[in-house]
Amino acid sequence: MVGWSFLIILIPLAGFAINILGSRVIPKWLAMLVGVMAVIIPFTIAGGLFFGVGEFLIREHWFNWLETDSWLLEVAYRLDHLSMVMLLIILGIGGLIHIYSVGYMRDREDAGRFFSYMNLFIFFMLVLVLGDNLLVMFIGWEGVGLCSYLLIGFDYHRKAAAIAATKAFVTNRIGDVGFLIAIFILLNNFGTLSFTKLNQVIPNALASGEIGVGLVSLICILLFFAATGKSAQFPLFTWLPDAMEGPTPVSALIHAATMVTSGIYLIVRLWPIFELSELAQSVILYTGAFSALVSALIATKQWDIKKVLAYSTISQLGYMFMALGAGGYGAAMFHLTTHAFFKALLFLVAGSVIVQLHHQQDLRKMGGLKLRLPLAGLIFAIGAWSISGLPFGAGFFSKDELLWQLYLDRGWDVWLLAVLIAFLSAYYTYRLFYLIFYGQSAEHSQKSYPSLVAEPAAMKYVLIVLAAGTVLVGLLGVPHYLDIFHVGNLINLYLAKVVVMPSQLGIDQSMTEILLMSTSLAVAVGGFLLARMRYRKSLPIEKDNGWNRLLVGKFFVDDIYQDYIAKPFSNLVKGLGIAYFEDFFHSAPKWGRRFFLKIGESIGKTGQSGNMQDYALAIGFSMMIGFAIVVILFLTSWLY
Amino acid sequence: MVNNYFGYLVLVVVSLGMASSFTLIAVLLGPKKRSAVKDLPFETGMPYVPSAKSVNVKFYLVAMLFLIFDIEVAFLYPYALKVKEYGWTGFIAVSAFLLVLGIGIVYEWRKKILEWDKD
Amino acid sequence: MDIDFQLAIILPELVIAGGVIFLSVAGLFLRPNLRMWVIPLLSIAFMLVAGAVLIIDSTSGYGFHKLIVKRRELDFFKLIILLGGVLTTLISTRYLQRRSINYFEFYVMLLAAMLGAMIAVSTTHFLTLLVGIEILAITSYVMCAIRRYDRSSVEAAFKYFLLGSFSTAFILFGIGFMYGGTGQLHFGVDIFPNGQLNNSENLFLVIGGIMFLGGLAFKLAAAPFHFWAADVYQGAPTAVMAFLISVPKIVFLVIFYNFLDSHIKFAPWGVFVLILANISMLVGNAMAFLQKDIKRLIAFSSVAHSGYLLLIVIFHRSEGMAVLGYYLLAYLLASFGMLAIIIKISADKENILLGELKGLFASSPRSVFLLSFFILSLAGIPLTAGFFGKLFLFYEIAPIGGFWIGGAMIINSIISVGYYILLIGHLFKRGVFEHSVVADSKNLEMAYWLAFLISVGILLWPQVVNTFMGFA
Repeated sequence: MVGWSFLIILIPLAGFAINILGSRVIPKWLAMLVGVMAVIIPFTIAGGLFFGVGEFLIREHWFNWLETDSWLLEVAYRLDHLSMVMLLIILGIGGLIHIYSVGYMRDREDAGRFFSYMNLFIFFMLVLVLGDNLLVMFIGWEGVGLCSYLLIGFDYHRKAAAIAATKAFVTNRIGDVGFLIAIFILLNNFGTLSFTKLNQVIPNALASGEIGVGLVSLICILLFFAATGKSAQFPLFTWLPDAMEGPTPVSALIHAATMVTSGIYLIVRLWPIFELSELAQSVILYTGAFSALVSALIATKQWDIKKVLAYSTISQLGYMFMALGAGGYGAAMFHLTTHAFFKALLFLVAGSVIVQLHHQQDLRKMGGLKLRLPLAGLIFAIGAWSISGLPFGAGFFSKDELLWQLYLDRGWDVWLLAVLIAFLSAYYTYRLFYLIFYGQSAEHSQKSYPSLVAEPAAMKYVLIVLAAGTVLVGLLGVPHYLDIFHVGNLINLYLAKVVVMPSQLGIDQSMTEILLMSTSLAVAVGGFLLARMRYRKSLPIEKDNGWNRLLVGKFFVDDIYQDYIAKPFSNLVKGLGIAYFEDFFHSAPKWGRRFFLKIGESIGKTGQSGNMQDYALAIGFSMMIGFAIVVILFLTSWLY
Repeated sequence: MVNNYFGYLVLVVVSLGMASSFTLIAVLLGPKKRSAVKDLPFETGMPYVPSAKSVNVKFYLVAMLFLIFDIEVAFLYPYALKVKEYGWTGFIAVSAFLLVLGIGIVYEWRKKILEWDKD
Repeated sequence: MDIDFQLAIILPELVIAGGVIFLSVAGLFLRPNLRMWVIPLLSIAFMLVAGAVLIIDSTSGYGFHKLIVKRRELDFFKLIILLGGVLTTLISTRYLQRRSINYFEFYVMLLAAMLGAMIAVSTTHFLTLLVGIEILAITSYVMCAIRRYDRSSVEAAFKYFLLGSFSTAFILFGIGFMYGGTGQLHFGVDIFPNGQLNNSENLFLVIGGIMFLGGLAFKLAAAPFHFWAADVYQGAPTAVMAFLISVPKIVFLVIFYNFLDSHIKFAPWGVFVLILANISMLVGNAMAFLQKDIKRLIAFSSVAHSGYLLLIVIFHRSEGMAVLGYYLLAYLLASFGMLAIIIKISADKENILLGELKGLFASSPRSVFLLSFFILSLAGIPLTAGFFGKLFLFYEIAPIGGFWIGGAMIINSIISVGYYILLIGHLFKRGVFEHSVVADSKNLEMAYWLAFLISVGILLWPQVVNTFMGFA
């Protein structure tokens, strides 16, 4: 089984190759079959590896890519417990979303292209999580960025989609600069990019005083900056809501479950380095908290069903970064896992609702769908229950562990902030729920949508399976005070082989934990009730005060970027251009070219005449010059 | 030692100088009168013939074929002198050489080069 | 009498020689419609067998009284020469039919040229070298003239023939002088270890060496011995041009390397070659800017490439051969890929002007994609094999040659990007492409996809040359 592990990576690539090369020949059903199988088969292999191999670390060295005296870049992949968790999420949820896409794309002529991009995405995501060093990871990192660009702009003829795709791509490039600089620093200082080696070398170097803590902080903050790009955190989060222009399965797979979590994976992968820098941890914690709070606030005033979910994703990712900043790597990974389930579920339900309402995304035009879409309502309720952290939903377990970690590491104030965000997330999720399924009478809905589009079977079954998964996934991390059967916190036990876990809590603290848990639970229920009160009956009238304008305007971050970064920059370029730079940069190549044309012309006129005699003469003449050189050197050496 | 070659250097310089000075003097001092007769190609006293009698292209073929097989014979002479000394190894080597030339004949034959009388 | 028969050491050459003899006769006994595809197929088979022998047989040593040398580094160059031969055969089949010059002797000549090239590479003895060079040269003249009813092709062949003979005279005269100076016809590094010949007071040797190097520079199309190159490449059939700008370049650079390796501290020669290299880079790039004809443009870019490569002949460390090998392989693949696409898009006209490329993207996007890839590889843009070639080259020459030499190479590469990008710009111009595109040649497609795949392969595994040569 282990020997076949490389197939996990190669099969999605093969699926991509088949679909993209045969895009004109392969019929649609076959393209869909290939696309789905290219994820399902690796999933079964990964499942076999998961059950078949207990204590495992597969590290396979493929070849040395570049080698110099001072450093070595190798292409190798590693499969350990951490990658395994990511692998199962990517392939499991990815497989379900592929099947869902069969239904979603059934009327589209370019389904083959869609599935090929999706398979390529899976391939690069696997490269990202299975790479054994930062370089291979970076290849995957860039690759998923590319696929994200291709898929957001899948309907490239729509201008909004094209612009959103470009925005996502450019914003991610800004983060990638941080990644690249970090890679250069690491190569320059340590000569290796391998995770294993870096995780040993850097703590040792710091302990022995070879490097200062400042360098470590710099590396960590640069890597975190890259993560803010990919995982849509504070300075670089504006691309994610716009990315909702892409098809809904793409939003579910890339912009909720997998790609946006790669920043968290990056930090967990290099946790021993991040552990070293107090400063970097604080930066991560507070950036995460700020992003989570701001985006949760924005989410409460959005009217586009997918945008609410997008801001909710940013908020939940901010949560995970908070946990990372507090050293709760296991908690972050657990929340990543549950989030992948319930957020994918919410997106897919939203997609199902959108499809059935003839591609309507505006919440104000929905409402009263409770009886007309009972299955969607039920499944949305499961998702909403999970994300809000209400008892025994998946989010309840993971958020609880996360909050506890924050409390242990940072104390009351950070914990309170996190609880406030939890309140907001319960509020905006149930606002969404009530706006879609309640809020108006069924008759009203009947009038606006006399007929509903039938939901394809593939979408329906995927929703049911994923809902079941969402209900169950929380059981992976049962807290000890609820652990009646003494199975333990499965995901923490599993990850403990790779990542350090906080010391197990003594029984005396368990009362505090239950107290904190009850408080956060009460707050979440409060959010739920507030949303129910405001949105259950009808659309409330929004007051036009400053606060509301701030929220509706998304804190004007986009406008600030536009007005204070993009515009001044282009003005600067224009202004400088008029004064000096444009002249220089326009005329320097011109002069250079003219210079070369002059040389070329003079040679062309004298030498390149086309006459053979001239050529022979040139050869003879050159030879004479050669002799002259020799004779001069000869005579000068004689003179010495 | 450089001194060993100094003579050669002097020789080169002197001969180049002489040749170029003669040419230069002729160019500078010589009278330049052109006439129709002077512009004719000079061919060892014979009158200039406007069009050369064309030689059949086969002539060149025969010449080339002769050259090739003449060289074959030229290689065989030294071998013939030392046949015994070279023994079987030499024999095999020469046979290989002859085989290649034999293939050359086959090539000419199939290319219909040996059919002299046809055009 | 000991006849030093070590046939195993020249087994690949023997395979090719056997192929030449066999195919020249076999072609005459086959029906025309049969030999149209049997001969190229067999000639590829012979090249593949020779290549397989080269890969398998990793021995090294001298043979035939040190007339022949076999080393792993040289084997690699023979291997890429054979790759060039295979690619030439693939791009020629439909091309020759289309131009109705489908003589089967073309493939025989190509195979014979391979033989000459391989002999010239695998020797450090002047006489064997001369035999190799001449076999390569004479067959090249014939291949150049294969379109014998076309004026420009005949003109090209005639120029190449006369000027080539002229340069061979220099080579021979140089060899004569050097023999006079040393009484030796060997020039290998093993035979003259570490500067035994570094006696710059031997004027015959010095003058002879200059003549020899000048003659080689002619064959390499290094400025100022390059004037023939543009005219010949322009007039030669495109398939032959692909051969001419790559295979002889490999051969003569290896000869340069082998020859100068034993005399590297020999100041006058080094200075001479350094001047050639710098003039080549400058002139090649400057002239390329002026060209309107795409084949002439590639010709001058190949002059510039000769310049880059001559730098590494002078400045290299013990593993310089690997760098040379990687660069030449990348260059060969890019040249063949480019010219294969040019053959594809010039079905009805031999020479395409830059302006005539407009609208190509609309009519054949795949060609434009591949052509851009190969052009970028020649230019040395990152993420192409050519980039690694230039990078390795720079790493090799900069520490020894110093700031000015490395800087000259970098600046010239940057300048060269100008006309490469200009060329790519022409590919994407709007308009109607007025020439017809070859659509029915599987061999041609195979050739450029092969070139593309190998380019990508050596991009992913740049250590392949080191590994093959046993340096890694």
